[in-house]
Amino acid sequence: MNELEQHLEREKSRLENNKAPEELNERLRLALERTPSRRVNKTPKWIAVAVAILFLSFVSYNYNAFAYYGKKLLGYDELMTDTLAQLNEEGNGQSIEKKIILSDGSELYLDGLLTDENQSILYYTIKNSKGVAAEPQFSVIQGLWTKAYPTHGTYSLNEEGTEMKGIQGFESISPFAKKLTLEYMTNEGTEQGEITFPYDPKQAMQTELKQSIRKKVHVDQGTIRFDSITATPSRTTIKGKVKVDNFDRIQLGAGGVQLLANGEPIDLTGSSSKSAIFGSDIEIYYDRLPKEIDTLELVVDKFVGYQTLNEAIALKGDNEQSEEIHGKELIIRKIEKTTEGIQVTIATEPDILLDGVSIQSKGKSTPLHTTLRADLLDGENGETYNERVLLFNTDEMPNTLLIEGMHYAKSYGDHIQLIGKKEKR
Amino acid sequence: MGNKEALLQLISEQQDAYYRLALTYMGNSHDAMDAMEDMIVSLYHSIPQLKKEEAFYSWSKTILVNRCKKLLLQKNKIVPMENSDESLEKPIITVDATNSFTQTEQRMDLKDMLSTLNANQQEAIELKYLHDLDLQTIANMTGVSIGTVKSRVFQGLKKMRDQFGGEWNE
Repeated sequence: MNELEQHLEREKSRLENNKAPEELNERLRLALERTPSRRVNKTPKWIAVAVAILFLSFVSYNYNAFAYYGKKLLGYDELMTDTLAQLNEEGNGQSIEKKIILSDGSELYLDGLLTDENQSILYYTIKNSKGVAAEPQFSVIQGLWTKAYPTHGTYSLNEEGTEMKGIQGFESISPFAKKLTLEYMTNEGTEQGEITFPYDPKQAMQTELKQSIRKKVHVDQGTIRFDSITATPSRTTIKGKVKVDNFDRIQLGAGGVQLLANGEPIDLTGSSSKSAIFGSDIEIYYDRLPKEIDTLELVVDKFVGYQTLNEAIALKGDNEQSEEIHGKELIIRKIEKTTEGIQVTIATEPDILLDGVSIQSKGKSTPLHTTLRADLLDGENGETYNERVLLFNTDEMPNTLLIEGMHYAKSYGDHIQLIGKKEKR
Repeated sequence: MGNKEALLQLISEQQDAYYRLALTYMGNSHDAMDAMEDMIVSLYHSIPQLKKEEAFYSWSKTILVNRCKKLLLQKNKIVPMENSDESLEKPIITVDATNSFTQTEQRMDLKDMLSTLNANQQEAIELKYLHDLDLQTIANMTGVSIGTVKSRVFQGLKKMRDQFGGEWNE
């Protein structure tokens, strides 16, 4: 390393002494809370996956991209799910073959559109001999009785960076639309454009199964109502409504609801919820159903539950302390006195949120003021812990930790038969 | 809700790196945090458009730099990392009290050297060497090609070496 680089290196390590102020996390949280939730939960699946990779250091990804031989649309094989690849091979969807020149000189080709009652999937290519700067941001597809917002998407770039192939999912398109207008943004959202192309609703793929469910499942703090199932070639969607007070207290969401066809679970591909009057409207997405179905059932395997604890844990002091509360591990990592108050660091498994936490010293109890931070950490045996630092507004070292209850991923096992008779098990 | 939480988690993984990047542009802690607030809101609303998970940090930092530049423009400041205003420097320097004198000295050396470069070269070198960003990310942030970034870094380092090289090779 030469002198100049050493100089830069020293400056870098000096800069690294700058840690983000403690209030930053809270400010970011507040900023997010103030912003309205997106209309539909459009966060692509990867964000949960990315968090999982970061913290669990393993990932089970449902989508395998197998190579298929005869292709209708070329070059998308590495992006497509098994189901999409299959549909493409069967020749579903319609070609658009429109080209747009974007402001930076890139060429955007709309290659094809695959539609059914559950969703629409746009296949596109961007070419720029000087390098593709960024993926396009699609805003909406509009048409007669159609306002389809983007849902999930994926793309890949060739090695030279000059050609990008992408798949963008949208909400479903009305069967009455005869032409569609795609609105998009480029240049970091500063420029807008649109393109209109004809659409043939007859080429939409037929819905394979649609039936109402109208069943309720009672959970600890409310009810889940399953309304309908719509199975199309590209996806299977369960719609329902959740009126559960603590629905968003843990991360699980509707992720513990299983769809079993012929006794085998169908891959869960995602879920979304949006708040509505009296509760949240939820949608749970699964992969395509098998062709032959003898039985189809919904199982609420896990869902958020609440357990009253009223535990008083004697704090032993300096050493790490492990407790079992209602069969769940609670680790008290450390108790510190800081200028802001008493900080207690605890860890549990991820889908647990303690409720009504306070500390006691000399008969005086102090309720939780705020949680300073929470981190998902790996344990020794590959398990994951959610570790957080609780702040209490007192300067007395406590001798007791009081916990009124906890929100957790509870096993329910409620069962709704959709097709066929319940198998004896 | 869960997604906001997940986004916060992702950001907090590299919270310090974001903060330092914002600080370099904004010059003070308050504005740096403002820029990060803007960034996280913008990320939340545009995350459906991000399709490649590994690109998250590069993409979000690019958005952060854009937010910083926008805020600076609104404040009518000169855009890329000019250091003419000494008062803006202070919060950055007072880091390690025990060693602040020597560190400040060193810093002034480097700042002097950087200040002889044009703003683009300076920005490219700071992003590459002080923030450890890869060339593609820097190219995205500064809206130029990788080749241009390489050349800015190369020319900048060369100029610094030419001007100050003698003093170092003692």
